[in-house]
Amino acid sequence: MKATLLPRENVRLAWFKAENVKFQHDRKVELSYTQHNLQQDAISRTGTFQIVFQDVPKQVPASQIVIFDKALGLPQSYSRTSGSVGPRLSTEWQDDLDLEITDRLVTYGTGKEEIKVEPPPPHLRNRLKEIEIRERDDLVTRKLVVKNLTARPIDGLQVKLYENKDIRFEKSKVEAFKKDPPEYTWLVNVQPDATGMVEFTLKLHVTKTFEIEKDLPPGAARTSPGRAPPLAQAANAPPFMNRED
Amino acid sequence: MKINPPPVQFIVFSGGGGLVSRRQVVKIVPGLNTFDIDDVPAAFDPRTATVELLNAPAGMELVQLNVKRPDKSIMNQFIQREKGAATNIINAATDLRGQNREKIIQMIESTHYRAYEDVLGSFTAIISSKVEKEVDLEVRYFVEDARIKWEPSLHISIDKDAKAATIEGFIVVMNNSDFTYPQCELGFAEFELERQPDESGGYLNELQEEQAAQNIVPQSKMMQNLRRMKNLVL
Repeated sequence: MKATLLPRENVRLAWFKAENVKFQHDRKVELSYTQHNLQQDAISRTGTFQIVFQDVPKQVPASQIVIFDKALGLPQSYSRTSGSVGPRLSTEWQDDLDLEITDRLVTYGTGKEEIKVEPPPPHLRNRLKEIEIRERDDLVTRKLVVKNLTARPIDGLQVKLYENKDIRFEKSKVEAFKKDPPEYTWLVNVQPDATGMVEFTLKLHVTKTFEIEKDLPPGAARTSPGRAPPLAQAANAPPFMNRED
Repeated sequence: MKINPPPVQFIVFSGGGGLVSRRQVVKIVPGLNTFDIDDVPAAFDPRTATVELLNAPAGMELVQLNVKRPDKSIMNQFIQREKGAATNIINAATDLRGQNREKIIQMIESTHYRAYEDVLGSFTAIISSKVEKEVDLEVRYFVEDARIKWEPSLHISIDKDAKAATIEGFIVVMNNSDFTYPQCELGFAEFELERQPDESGGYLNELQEEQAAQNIVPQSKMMQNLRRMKNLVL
């Protein structure tokens, strides 16, 4: 394209125009839990969305995007793209304000505890008698409630659940659309001003480790080679220390 | 002989600077022909400077290229002095509402933002020939000036009911140098860079950023910063 670049001026050049480009909204909400938030009664979640345009005739580099609503003729959002991938152009993922998502605790079942006793490692044998490991599997059922705040149906919201080493997927009321551990995906369709939901059960593996100290003769102070605790503290010290993993 | 070939193509790089091609028909006479090329910015990279003789007959060849950039510290002293003079004009002006207001402001602004890269370098081509002929002489050089760059911008109008969109692509080109590139073919190259430039603004978004971009300290070794070309828009 031919143009004149004048000194100390910005020039805006028309590059291309493509009409009737098909697009879709990809929406998702990603869930990953920790031992702490898995037990929370309610967690407010935020979904994200991107707009994917198909068959864009030009290869577009990373650039800014201003999205207008054709009916209103007003800008709707400012976004960016990381550039075309073949004929596909997508915006960056942005927070989705069309959805209200709440993640609620349905049930919390504490599992049966199993106790294992192991000898202490060599460098602690002077102090510890044994190490006690208590393990259990808790079953936690949670329900994700998605409310559609728009006047249009929302199809294909992806609810993605990610497992980690302690929190594993157990089962769900509705079969997952895709199971690819550690990732499980459900597709949710929500009618206008209505709610949709996904309910699933997770297994939480809880491990508690107790260091059982050696019994001392009555009246003997417990000391360590580096630092001697005050006598009163030593006398009141519990018979064991515990550590939760 | 002094010549001033007009720019025919300017490929602007996304990280700043660009490759300038200038072309002019010149008459070559038998013997040695010396051409001093005018209006070469001091920001040109002498290592990338080339001269090509298009449609040159046998017996005509480029003998040597002399390139020189002016001394930076001396030029900077001159520029500082000019900036001081511009400030004095503003301070001493009793009435800047007259007929020449726009001209004066333009001149002061140009002086205020002037940098070493806006002064002229020297580029001389010596051509030897056994014949007399008019040939196209093409000069190419990379301009190491971060004040010249480009950025794409998209306006997308979406029809939620029809699920169809209209995409309009624009290219915003920033030329904060003192040089004009009149009616030349523009190309826009996107590169992966070794290191990102310090600032990325200066286009049409924010007035402060846009004006601050005129004071960018131009970087040297911009060509070495290029890692891989990703895209070329012509």
